[in-house]
Amino acid sequence: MNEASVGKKISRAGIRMILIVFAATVILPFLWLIYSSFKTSREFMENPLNLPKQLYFDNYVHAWVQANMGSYFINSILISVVSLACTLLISVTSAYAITRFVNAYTKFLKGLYISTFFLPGIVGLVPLFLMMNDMHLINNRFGMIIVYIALNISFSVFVLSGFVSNIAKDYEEAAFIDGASRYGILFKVIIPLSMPAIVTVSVFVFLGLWNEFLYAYTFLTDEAIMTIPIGLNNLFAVQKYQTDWGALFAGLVMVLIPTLLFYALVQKHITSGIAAGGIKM
Amino acid sequence: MAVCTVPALLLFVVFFFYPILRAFTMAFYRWSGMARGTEVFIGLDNFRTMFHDDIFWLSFKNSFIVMLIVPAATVILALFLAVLLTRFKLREKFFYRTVLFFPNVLSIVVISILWSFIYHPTMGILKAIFESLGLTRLSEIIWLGTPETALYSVTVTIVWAGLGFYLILFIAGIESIPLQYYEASAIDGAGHVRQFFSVTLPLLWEVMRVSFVLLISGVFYGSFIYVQVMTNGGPNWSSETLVNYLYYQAFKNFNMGYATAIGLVVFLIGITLAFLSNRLTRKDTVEF
Repeated sequence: MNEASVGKKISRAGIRMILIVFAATVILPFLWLIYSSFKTSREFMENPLNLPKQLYFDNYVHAWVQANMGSYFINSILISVVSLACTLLISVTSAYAITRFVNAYTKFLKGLYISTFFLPGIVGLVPLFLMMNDMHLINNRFGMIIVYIALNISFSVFVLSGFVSNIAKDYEEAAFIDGASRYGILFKVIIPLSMPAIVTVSVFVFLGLWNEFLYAYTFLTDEAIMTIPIGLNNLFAVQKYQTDWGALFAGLVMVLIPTLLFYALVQKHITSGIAAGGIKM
Repeated sequence: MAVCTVPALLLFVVFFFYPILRAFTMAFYRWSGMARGTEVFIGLDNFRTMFHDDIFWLSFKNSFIVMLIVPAATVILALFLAVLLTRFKLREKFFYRTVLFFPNVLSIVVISILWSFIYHPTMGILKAIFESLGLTRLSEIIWLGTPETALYSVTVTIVWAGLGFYLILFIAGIESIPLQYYEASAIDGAGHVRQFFSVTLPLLWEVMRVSFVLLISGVFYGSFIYVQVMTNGGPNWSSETLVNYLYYQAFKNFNMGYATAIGLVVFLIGITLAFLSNRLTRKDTVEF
């Protein structure tokens, strides 16, 4: 072995050390969170790095029953899934109309969605709150879903119309000759061919909805209909006085595990979506 | 077909666009928001109040501190790691990228609560780690409960949470640079450092530019949740940012008109920043 390759080995070992430190700042806190979720209240008072002496599963029971995690989960699933489904349906229809039926109206639509793409919703938060209050849509799952659809329309239409415009028109013409209606073409040609874009949009919109805080924090103040992020924040605030840290940690792990599984499942879509978007920009 | 686009348009206009427009008139009224018809037109008074409001200016300053530190730290760290992972052709690239990106899919509330415990003065792992290393001075700091450290501690969390996203962008960017450039510069005798400044940096500039623009506006609006959960703007307003102050005025102080006026300022700053960050970083990009 010559000197240069020894130097190379050392520098690669150094690089690996740096990378391991960075990875550890992500992995260790989560490991700590998971094993601490099995500690008893007394063990929480001891050295935080200690391992629990036995697995105290009662924390999970407390989180699920007393701390309402169960109902937060149901609310989150219901609100995210319905909002996502509605957003996709109306966005893909709009994207189809914008790319295939070009006229003054669809041009206006396209312009509106693109120009408002970067508008921060927070500016309209207070007027929106007052309007929702007048409509009795505060503390209302239906109201939350409507707001979520509205928030995601411009992003979804923007990405989907970019994709639809690249689909060759031949397929539609063939379907048209076979007697398919415009809706038939939309559901049997456009939607199946747009699946890669629809999946990518779904992943990003779903993640955004599942984790959404600002609007849910403002519009869902009744504990019975809180979503997971708001419920956890509420639990965190309550435990500052009740100090049942075990239940809070168990609640955090309950949210962490499905997210981890979901991430393992869609990791490729996320990475390629970001990489493609970044390079095109 | 056009009929089918109407539901989307209606929802978008009523629940997204109209409230933003409405903010432009509401900012000129005094209104608790509770009873209809109790709003009073006060012209520019909300803006005058803002000008003399110390907490507004403190939030303003804090927002800028966060907007300076987070984009700079995130881009430098992500660039450094991306270069290590791509230029040294490590086989574990996939592993590190996957691990470092993970916080990006987590709810910010989960991240904020987790970090509140990392910083916790009695149960925190940071305290335990400093103690076991014998660094008693550092272990005694109450990170989120001291005015001097609260905002910076939150900033560290924001960088940690966002790093992986930019790492993916930069890895993709570096991998799209043709290898011939690196080979040619290696023949000319350039080492890794020289290659970084003469090949990677200029050819990655466009991606970095986009990252700065995304980060600056993202942090400006996005720091809200971290601050709300981790410090609630405290202690003694020391970590309050503009969006948190807007929220406080609207939903704790029920000063809806004033909150909307702050919202307009936030809006103007946001637009200006997006425009400036886009302009200042514009440079003839190298096509390849």
